[in-house]
Amino acid sequence: MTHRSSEPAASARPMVWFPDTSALVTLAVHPPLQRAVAATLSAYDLVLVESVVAELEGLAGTPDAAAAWAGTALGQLDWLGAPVRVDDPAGTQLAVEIQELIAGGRPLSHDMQHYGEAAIISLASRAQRLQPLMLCDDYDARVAAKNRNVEPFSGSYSSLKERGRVKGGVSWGFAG
Amino acid sequence: MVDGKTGLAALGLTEGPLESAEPEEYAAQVGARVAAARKQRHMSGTELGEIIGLRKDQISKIESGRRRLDIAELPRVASALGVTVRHLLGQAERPALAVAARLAAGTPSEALRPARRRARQLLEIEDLLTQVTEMPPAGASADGTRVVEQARARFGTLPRSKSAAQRQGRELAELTRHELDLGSGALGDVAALVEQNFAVDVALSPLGTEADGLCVHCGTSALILASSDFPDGHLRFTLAHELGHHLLNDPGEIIEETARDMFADTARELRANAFAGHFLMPERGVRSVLEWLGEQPGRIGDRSAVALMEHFGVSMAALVYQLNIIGTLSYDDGQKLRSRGVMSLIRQHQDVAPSGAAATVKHIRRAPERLTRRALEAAREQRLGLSAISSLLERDDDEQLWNEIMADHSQVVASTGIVL
Repeated sequence: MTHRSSEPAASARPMVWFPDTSALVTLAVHPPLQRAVAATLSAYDLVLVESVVAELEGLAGTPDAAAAWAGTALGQLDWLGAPVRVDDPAGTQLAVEIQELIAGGRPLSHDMQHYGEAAIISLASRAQRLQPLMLCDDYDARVAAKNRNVEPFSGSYSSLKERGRVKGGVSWGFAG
Repeated sequence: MVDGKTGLAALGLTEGPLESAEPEEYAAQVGARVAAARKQRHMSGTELGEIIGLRKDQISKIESGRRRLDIAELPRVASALGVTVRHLLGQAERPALAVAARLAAGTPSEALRPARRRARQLLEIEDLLTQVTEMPPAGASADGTRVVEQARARFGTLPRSKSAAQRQGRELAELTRHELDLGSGALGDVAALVEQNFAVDVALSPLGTEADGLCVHCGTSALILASSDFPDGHLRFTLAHELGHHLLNDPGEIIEETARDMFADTARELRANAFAGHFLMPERGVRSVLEWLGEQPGRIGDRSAVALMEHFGVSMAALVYQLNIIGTLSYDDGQKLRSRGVMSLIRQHQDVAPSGAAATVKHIRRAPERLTRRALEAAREQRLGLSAISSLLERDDDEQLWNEIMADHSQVVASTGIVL
């Protein structure tokens, strides 16, 4: 986890952002958005979950149209710090369950599909002494996060702005 | 990050009681479960390793807890062993998932693979809905419960002769019609009738024409799946046949049907076919239609055959089979009738078969009503995402589906802020 926040906490619980696989792929598609999101979120604590890296690696190895973007995303992880493992027994059990939930009966394109989001929700939902926020572009994962008290945000600029996560004083580097 | 730590400890947070298991001890427990499941399947370490792409010594280390099973390896190991990931992790087993895992295991013939895949998917969705929405198990009607109880009390032993098998199948069909107050007329929506009365989920999918369908049953609940790539009349017979297997509690958690299986010359299949024939085309109903058509028993013409197909919603093959059983058509005449070609006969006698539905292939996609209703509710309340419902309904147009589901539910979206 990167500890970079010197901002006063809005609540008693410090905000911690967990970017997921889908959001990192979205950011890889749009470099200005990636720079803007990185600049804004770097003011807060950030957690890169190791399974997100593994999922990006899995996706990069598939014939999926997003494979190339996953490769790009893997080269843009420096701003997120060292990855955090979520392979403790309780975390793994919960993550497997959440992965099944997000997959919703659809066959997985690779074994790690959805596991990044699942591992984030598994970890973040148990870290309620913090205020966990998930940056995620997968609708089903956002629904699963919300139901486990992890506040989800789409990585798209408009979504963050509409929901008050971009406020005065934060420069996004481009007009909204 | 706290180096060398995992989970909450890596965030520097105190671990709760759930996090108390030591990772080394946990790896040993998972390894022991892998070893037990492998031995139960009479599989060597080398064989398991070949399936999942690991060496024998790596399997040995996993089983002894010296090597932790990576999360990416877990699904492959579970699938190879015919168990759930949940089982390997030591979590409480859930019945639908356990059956789904057994469906995924083994190497079914190519013909049966699509049906197995769909059945597994439906069982997984059922499990999801049970977890997310606390969906109760499927319930039978009071009439249906009486049928099941009587069927299992009266026909619990597999008959020894073909005639006994046919007699039992007929008696069960008559019992079922009597208890459900169905008279001797044609049945409407067979899938709905089965779901309403027998705690059975029914699904129809275009699964090809190599296999008719399958029945997964354990105890008093079941899933019946049939391929809608067959004409509607054929499909209805498959549903009735599978219902017969379930009511009679025929052995086998998974009963799979290719045409060869369904019409095998065994007591079990003959009994299920006799049930299906009499359930769909009761003798009294058939004779009543023939009388209306002015036919004499034993002299059934092309036009009457077409009218009977249309009336009872059955295929020509099923009709000929049943007319032969009830003695209104000889075997030879039946074969002659079949050789004339169903579509040609229907074209000639459109006045008595205006819809031609029994011979029409509709490629219907029908998910079990109980699951569909619950999944729609959960999706609208955003307790469940879109994947489950799109899998259930076999749709891949997520945006259109989301718009349809969320029409008139904008207040839910406004309160959660989660949009597609």
